[in-house]
Amino acid sequence: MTRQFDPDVINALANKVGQLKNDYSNAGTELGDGDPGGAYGELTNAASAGTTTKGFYGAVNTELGAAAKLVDAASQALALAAARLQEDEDRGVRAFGGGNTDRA
Amino acid sequence: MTTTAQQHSAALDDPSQDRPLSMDAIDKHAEQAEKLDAVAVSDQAGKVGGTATSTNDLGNDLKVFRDDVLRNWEGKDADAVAEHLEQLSKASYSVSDKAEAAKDILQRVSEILENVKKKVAELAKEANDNDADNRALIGAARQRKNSSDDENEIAAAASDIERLRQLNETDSNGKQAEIEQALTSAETEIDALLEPLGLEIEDGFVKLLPADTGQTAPQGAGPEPIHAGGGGGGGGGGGGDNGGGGDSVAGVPGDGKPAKPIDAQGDNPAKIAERFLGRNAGDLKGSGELPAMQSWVPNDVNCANFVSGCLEASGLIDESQASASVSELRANLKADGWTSVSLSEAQPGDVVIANGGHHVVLYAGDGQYIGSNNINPDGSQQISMGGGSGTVEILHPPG
Repeated sequence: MTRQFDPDVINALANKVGQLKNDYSNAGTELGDGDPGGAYGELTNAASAGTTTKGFYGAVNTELGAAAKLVDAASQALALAAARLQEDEDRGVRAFGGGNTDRA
Repeated sequence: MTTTAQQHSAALDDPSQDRPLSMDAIDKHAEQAEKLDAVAVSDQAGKVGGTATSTNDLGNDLKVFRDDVLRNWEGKDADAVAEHLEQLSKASYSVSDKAEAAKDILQRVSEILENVKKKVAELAKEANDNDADNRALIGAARQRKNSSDDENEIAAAASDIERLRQLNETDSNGKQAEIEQALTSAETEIDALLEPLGLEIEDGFVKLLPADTGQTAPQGAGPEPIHAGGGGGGGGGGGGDNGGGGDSVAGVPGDGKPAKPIDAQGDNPAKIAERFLGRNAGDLKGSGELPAMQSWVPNDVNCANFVSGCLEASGLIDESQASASVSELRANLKADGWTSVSLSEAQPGDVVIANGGHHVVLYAGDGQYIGSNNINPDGSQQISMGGGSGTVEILHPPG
């Protein structure tokens, strides 16, 4: 019979997905806040150009923040699933193996 | 007593009158254009390009992880997790595409700045060269006028001075117009290029966050925020504990110190709101910074509480008009003379009743909104841009 899951692999996967949280957060840090400073000098639209650019950066940073949270949640969910699967597997082994905690 | 003829002759002899007034405007334009910093915008393009690359790579990673899930785990839970990872991957590509487009836009804007800077400098130099040539000719004519005893010669030289001054002024005015035209067309082009940056990022991550009383995400859309449990082997239910508590991505101060009410009387409410970007409503409502915010309000329904806090801080309403209820705040503002305006007439700081009347944010200008939105994974609110979808009314203060 083939196993439907491998808790260790899922747990490792949870860690990999969790790592992405930092990657998304770092992407936001590297992007910065989009303040163009005095790049537009005294053009009549300097203020609006700055506002638009900063607004865009803000939107991207919000997306990256949401991404960090979502991948973190996904990672936790995977870790939780792995733990539960492991528990179920151990329980099954105990039921069939009379207390032998080695996995089948 | 001086005669008119003497005055006229003195005016012709005054070299300061050889220089057209438009040369001052040209010099000012040149000085201002010199400050345009194309490199800064190019750097921004580079950073946004970096984000495009990293979000694309992370989208690829998520895709690989999705395949790994399906390879190593079978069943409905595995399918749900894989589906969720696929959605995250697509969202990452979506952000990447938008960032890539923004990179191109900013690169183009940088080129425009560089070109107009160069063009203004060239035109200003030409104007100054022409002016110098013309003034040399005027000087020569003046010399002729003042060194001759021949009345005819003097009259001819005076006439030359006047003609050359007029020529110099025409030349200079022409250059000024050319410079102003170059600046205007650069501004127009930059405005048009930057316009798409003001649009919402569609199909990104924000819409995958748990929805509730309206926020940046369209209501009702989006999948369940991953609850890995559900089945697996008994136990079920439960789940859903992801991300509770105070884990934050950015900008949450959380130093625990009581803060003082901010001093913002007379400020625009949208500007006041900007000060709190990234703060959790749960933290803000009890901090004392916006006294009109009531601390008892649950963390997931602070939109009206926050807008009330900003309006009160700006002095546009008093505390008795503040409300944690969207409909009550809306009614209070209308009773106070706030009028309904269209989006095209909206001004920063106007109050936007959104999500079919269940949500309220402030108009931030340029098609953007700011408010307390349900963007945290546990459904609680954070001060962020957005939240204006499903707008039903925009209220503008009286006066």
